[in-house]
Amino acid sequence: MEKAKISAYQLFILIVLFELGSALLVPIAIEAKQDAWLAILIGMVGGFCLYLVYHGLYSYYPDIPPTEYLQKIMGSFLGKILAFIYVLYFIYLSARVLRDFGEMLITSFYWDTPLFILNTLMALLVIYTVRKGIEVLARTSELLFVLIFLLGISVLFLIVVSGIIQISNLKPVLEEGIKPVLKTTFTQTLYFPFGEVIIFAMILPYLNRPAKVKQIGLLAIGFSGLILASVMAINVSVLDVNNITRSPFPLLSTIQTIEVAGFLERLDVYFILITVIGVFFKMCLFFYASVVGTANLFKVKESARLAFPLGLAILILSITIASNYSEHIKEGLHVITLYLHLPLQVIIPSLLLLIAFIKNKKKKRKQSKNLFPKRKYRLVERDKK
Amino acid sequence: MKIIGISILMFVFLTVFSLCMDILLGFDLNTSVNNAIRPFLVMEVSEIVIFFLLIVLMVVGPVRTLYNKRKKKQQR
Repeated sequence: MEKAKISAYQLFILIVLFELGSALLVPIAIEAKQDAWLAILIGMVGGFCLYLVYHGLYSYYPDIPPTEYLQKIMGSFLGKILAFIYVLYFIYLSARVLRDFGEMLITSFYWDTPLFILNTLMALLVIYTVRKGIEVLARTSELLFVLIFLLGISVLFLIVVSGIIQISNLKPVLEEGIKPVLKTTFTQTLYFPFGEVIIFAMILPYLNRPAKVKQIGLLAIGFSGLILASVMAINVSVLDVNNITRSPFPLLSTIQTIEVAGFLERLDVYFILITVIGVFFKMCLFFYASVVGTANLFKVKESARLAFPLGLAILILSITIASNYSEHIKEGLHVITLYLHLPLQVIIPSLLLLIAFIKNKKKKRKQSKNLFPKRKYRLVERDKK
Repeated sequence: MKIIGISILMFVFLTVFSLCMDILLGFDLNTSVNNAIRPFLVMEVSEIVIFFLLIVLMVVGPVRTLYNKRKKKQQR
């Protein structure tokens, strides 16, 4: 582990930017139709529970990353295999985010530029940032968060002023009952984007004030959940459910409909800036976790040396991951959720927490047993005197 | 060299990971392997140049470190 420290505020910003990252890009929870915002909010509550599980594990082992405490909980052999699977999972998700970014640019703006070139540019930037370390990433997030915040407020203002919001598009609420909403939550929004905070299990040991981890994490997930739900509600109210299901990037379509005073239009650059910044941080965090995890697992002293080769692996994987965008999205929403997100974000961490709880209870009992005879001995000695 | 070894190992496992996901999506092994290779067969010249440049850059760093280490040992 590198000797670095980040503040609680920086952790808050990193979580918010991470959550917003690619979730703003794709139409999440659209299976719930006009209740998508509700599915996101319920997913956020699930995200709180998952974060509490990760925090529980962190509270047992506050100074070491998951790749190390997995070995302490599960034993050396099984722990190493699990840690390796987690590292692969982080790299794979990083490649998926990179592909999202490349596809977004190609579909909407750079029609003639090859995907490989766009992905290479982003990958090189991410490699450079990860080589510099978590402190640099955290300070960069502080700077760019202000920009994203200002952009978000101005977009919201322009959407409201241009009068394109039609609240009637959000009605009827719960048209087919709560069942489709819950189904969307438990098959999608719980894992993407909220369950992905598992990555912060690798970042939490760097926090300078461990007492604030729980509070800051929950606050950040709540804040980003509210932003995502309101963005989705605005998208539905502006575009209608039918248009959103056909649109690959609903936020872009919403921004494209802005027209104020007959001249303030074609504000696509807002979308580009917001998503590029978000995707950059999401990818950086996934990549950083995988580099630190690999270095920890294979006992590499300078983790920065792994950044370039692993970055290259991510770049190649982002190209080979799917043959087209629809396959990429289908794989992300149906296969990855069931076979990767569910076991690695929910089942395994919950089991680990249970095992850690039992192990620590046994340890405490042993400690108290060891302490008791000494105390008894002391009391006998005192009585003799 | 350890770094290159680790990277190749990770890359192999990641490729298997990706192929497994394709198979779980409903493709057979042949199609998923073809899908993975095809993007590299239709690359333009500029893409190929950048791709090989990146690979050379990856190899040069560790090889240079190894060469310097051996040189130091020989000098001792």
